[in-house]
Amino acid sequence: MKGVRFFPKDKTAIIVLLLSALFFIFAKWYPIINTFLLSFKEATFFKESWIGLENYKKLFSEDKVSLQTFWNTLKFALMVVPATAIIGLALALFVHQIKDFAVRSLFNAAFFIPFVVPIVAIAIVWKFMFQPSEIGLFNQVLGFFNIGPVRWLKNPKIALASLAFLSVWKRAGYAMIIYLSGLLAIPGTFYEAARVEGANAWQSFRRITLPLLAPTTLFVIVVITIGSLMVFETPYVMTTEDFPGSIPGGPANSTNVVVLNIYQQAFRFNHIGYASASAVILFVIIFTISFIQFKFISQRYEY
Amino acid sequence: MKKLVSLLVLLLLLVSAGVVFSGGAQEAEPAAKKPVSIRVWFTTRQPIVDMSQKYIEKYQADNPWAKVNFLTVSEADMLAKFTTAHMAGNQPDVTYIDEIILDAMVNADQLRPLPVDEAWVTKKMGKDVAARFKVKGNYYVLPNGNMTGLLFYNTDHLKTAGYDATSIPKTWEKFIPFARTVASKNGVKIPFAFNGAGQSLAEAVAYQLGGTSFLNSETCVYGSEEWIRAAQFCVDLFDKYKTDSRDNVNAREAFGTGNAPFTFEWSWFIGMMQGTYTDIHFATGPLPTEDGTPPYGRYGDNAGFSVTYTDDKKKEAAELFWMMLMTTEFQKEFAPLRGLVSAHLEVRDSELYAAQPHITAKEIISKGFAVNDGDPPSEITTFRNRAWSAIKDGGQDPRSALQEAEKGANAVLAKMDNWLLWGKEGRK
Repeated sequence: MKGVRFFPKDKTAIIVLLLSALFFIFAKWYPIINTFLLSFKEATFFKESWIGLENYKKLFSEDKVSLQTFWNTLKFALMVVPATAIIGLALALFVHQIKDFAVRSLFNAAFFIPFVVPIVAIAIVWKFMFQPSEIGLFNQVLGFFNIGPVRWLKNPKIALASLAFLSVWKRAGYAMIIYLSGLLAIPGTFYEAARVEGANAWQSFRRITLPLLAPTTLFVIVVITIGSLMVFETPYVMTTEDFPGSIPGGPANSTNVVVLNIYQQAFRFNHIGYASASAVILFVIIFTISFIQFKFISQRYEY
Repeated sequence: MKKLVSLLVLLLLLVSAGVVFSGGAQEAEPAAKKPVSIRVWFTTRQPIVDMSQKYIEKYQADNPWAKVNFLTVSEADMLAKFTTAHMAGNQPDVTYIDEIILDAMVNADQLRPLPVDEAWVTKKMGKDVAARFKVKGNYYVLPNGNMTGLLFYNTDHLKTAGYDATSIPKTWEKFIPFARTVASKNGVKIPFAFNGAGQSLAEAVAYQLGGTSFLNSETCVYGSEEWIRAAQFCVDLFDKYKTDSRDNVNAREAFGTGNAPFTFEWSWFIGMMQGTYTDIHFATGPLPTEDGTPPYGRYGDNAGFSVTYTDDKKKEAAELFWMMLMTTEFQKEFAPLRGLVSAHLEVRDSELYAAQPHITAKEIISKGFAVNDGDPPSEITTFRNRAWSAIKDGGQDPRSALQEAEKGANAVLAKMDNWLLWGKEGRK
């Protein structure tokens, strides 16, 4: 546009912008580019040498454990994302219809608190609740119905789902808050018009609420997806056995996820280059999934 | 004229006095050393940290020009924290380097040569250590001692059941029902606790059966028949003999809280029992075997204090501190807290290892009742641990799990450089 300056006139503004740019370059872009370059090297913390695509070849053809971590991570995301979005929306609809401000605030806070509590603290407490014997809280509850005990974190078939359950519980409140803001933005006149036309609650929800919440849904899904694909703390805290030299990754490697594997490769085995290759692949996966989500969910509706 | 002569004489006297006194002062007080501050990192074991404080104070009193900044770091984080500090240019000057990260540190030239020669090491620790720990003509780390797997037993439980140490059977066939009897008579549910230590127990049993982990520095044999039988035996301990359960608390906690009369653990657990579970009266014995005779398992070296300074101005202070750690006085207190049979001959032959709970480990190691198979890096033992997890929790059959582990370990070994700096043999 004519007359628009690229750089501000004010010197203070220039300095502040430069500082911000320097921060982004050194704290964000430099590590990203360096990681990408390291992925083509045989690198430890102390020395490195160029090896081309060898790390990627090893990742895709030799290292079954690392490949499994990608599959575990995708499974985890597939469990967490839809559940969090659906439960978040349900909570938002529930809270939205509460008329009393004090009661609504109380429910808001109650559902949102898990999101603000540090994940490591939650993971430690839930690890006790998931105890495989009858001393675990969940098994005690199941015991009242003569079910179990269930080996929540010890059975490789359900360990990942147990972690997903915790993740949904933690993030649903966050999704609720985002959806609430989306619901508040929908004009009430649409619902009035629908009522006049004879639409019932389900039809209003399907034809008005859901479509107009599409941008919000896109945001929730993208954010939760990225968070799920980058999960680390819950499998690390909850499924690492407590003996010297123990490896995180849960029973039969069933809760070993990509970021956890990257951590092990880099900081336990000193394979920085190989860990960087895994990180680059994870970045590509997240980018691709986010791109697809933007393409298919971002359709805007206008009435 | 007279006045002038008197003045000259006086001046001469003053100058002479100055020369005499300054020369005397030089002899009485050597040139003061420049103050330095050294960073010392130990791994986090509270009893050792507490014990070390008085030695640090003594070191600082003996060397007033040197100040010690002492920090504890967990074993799991040591490599990451050390490398981060190295990149920031402030790595510690004396570091406790655990053997599981030693190969990475040596390969990366991060350790300085120790201020000792072969004669010193031979005198302190014997010919075998002097030979095995020499790397490129220097010593970079020396073992603190050795550890081995032991049977730990609760002496009160035995007494209540009407038994003593001599009653403990030497064969697995007799030991298992005996353990159940002792547990039952004490009203505890876990006869022989090993949950969380299953991979170590399987390894010990594999060695008992005549197996090994490595044929040489390039060939891992986790998939051998001995390992398969050993893993199946440990699964049977869970499922067939029910001496423990996969869902119980880990073995250390079960034994340490008095909920199991017997457990298997490596000798470092002695330090933990004495520091953490002080209410339990315990002793150690050799693990049962198939026929009651050794070998009882494996033993390994425990490393080690190393000098890691980068600033040559700190060399003297760092090396003096390291030498202090090598004194018999320090090692006499350190080794038992760490659960080691000390590598220092003077300590090993002292009265400390002539009685429980240390005597068993000393006898097993010094009499060759366990196999020293070197100390592989954690990246290799990870395959073994994963296989055990797949067998124990995933229900995978031991043969396929261990053969997969062997394949994976050998693929890593083929690309590994300079590991197994001590042990059976070095790199080809």
